[in-house]
Amino acid sequence: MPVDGSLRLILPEIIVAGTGLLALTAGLVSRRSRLPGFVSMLGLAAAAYFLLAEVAGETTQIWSGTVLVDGFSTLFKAVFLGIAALIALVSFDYIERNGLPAGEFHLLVLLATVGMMFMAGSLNLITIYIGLECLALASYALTGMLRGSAKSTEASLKYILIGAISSGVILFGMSLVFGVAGSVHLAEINAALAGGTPMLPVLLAGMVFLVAGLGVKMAAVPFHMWAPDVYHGAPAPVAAFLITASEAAAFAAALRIFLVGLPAIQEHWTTVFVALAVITMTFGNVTAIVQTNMRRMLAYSAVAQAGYVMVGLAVASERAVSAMIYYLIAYAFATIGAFAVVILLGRYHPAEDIADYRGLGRRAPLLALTLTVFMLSFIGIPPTAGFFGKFYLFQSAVAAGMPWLALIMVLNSMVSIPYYWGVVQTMYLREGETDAPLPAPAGVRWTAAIGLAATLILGLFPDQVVQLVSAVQVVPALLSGGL
Amino acid sequence: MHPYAPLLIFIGLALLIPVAISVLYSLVSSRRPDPVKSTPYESGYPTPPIEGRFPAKFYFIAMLFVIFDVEAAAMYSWAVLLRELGAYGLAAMALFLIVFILGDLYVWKKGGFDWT
Repeated sequence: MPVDGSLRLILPEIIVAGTGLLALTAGLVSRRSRLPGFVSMLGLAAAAYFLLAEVAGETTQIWSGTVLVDGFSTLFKAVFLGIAALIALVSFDYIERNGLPAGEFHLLVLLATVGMMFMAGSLNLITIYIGLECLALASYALTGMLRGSAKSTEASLKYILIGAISSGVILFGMSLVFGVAGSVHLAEINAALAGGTPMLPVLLAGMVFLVAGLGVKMAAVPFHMWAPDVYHGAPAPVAAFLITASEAAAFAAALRIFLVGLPAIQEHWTTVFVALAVITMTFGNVTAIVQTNMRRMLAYSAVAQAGYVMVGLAVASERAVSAMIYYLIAYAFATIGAFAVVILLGRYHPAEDIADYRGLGRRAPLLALTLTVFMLSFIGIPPTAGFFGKFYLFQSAVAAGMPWLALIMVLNSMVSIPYYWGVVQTMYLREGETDAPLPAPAGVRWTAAIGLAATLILGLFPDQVVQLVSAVQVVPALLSGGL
Repeated sequence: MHPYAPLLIFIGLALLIPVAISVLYSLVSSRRPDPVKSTPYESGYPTPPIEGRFPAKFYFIAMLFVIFDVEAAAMYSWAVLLRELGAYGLAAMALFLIVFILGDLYVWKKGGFDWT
């Protein structure tokens, strides 16, 4: 592989990986735990600059089809870079307070980001799998970073075990698909299956394994067992990272694998995803109602939200894909914003019970207000981003002739009102034990503010973003005319 | 010859060689056991009964060994094709070594080579 112009197309990934090494070095040579965070944010900004200035707008495959650059991958990469930067911003104070090794923390977040960028940026099953492993290995270590906490260690162990099994399942599914289609490149798999589907049972088995393995990463019921424990036990910024970025990466990979590689058996996987979406959102919402711990509630809410996003996979129309991406972006901002408040509260109330939010309306009025907006966005009430995201998904389901699926979504949103709104009630209507104001560190304040601004802007002026996400094609244009 | 005959011969040889070595060993070797020799793996680290806590240092050193092993393997394959790979190979190896040396420095700084 000689050095040619193609290296430029993965420059953002190279910058992110290089920044990780720099952050690690910064953590070694400097006693100040903030330096690696600044290094990380600068690197992410540089990567985003190159992504948007140099790579955006190009559609091409390089290195015998192992890496693909197109609108879909660029948009997802931009989302991942944005999420990673927000996580770096929100974790300054958290790292300092819990004595986490700052260099290692940022290195692992950045390596996970590189993994996700390759998951979204390839049509090659092997590259997608390596990206997934890169993400997964970094996430296991990140989850167990609170070494003094039994919960964190338990979460990490559970995540490793279930993650390793799911990786194996995905790989097995890929091998079955390869066995039938004779290629690991999704476009070639599609071409091989276009004339008919030989060995359908084997192909279906491969499809089921892929759904199950990716379902684990999306935290879809019944593959969600790890999610509440991991999202509860992991360091709070890591939990926010996993809920938003890791889940989005799994959806990006699933979109590519099923829409580009396996449209020949669409009727089969549509059925599976419809069932998974309905089970996931219903189970997540019903279980979230009974949670008394804020983080477990958010964990089950993440399961439910994954169910909503999966409606897009079930519908699998162009509009549904745009709606999914819109929803993932909206959900990411609201989740990270909400976690900023959770991180602040966790500083004074390590138990992180919902009851600890009593009187927050008086103790930190601005943050309580932002958290209210995020909860409204989770429920899907205008003028927040969550409302428009759900509406968009709903519309795509109706347009594809699945009004009953849209109806189940609406019913589920109604079920979710009590537990989201319960937090708001606790903050404003219940008296806290103390009225002492909660001073928020700058990183937390900024993250909450960015989350709030994005949630409102996406909700009030969705046009720009809708144009952006509807211009994205899962099946890149260079493939639609054959190979 | 039957097409599967080589396979049979191969399996036969595969069974024969270890058996022959074991038999030869027991015939020829002398036995003078001492405490160090009879520890498992003769690695200088006693294997405790698997209950309760045990030091993780041994496994850590084993892990470091694997990393250095991989490095050596990469160096060998590069060195063999040094001329053919040219400047590109040199650059790739330099990149690999930068990452590797950074990892070394990290382990060093964190006291990973402090085995006392």
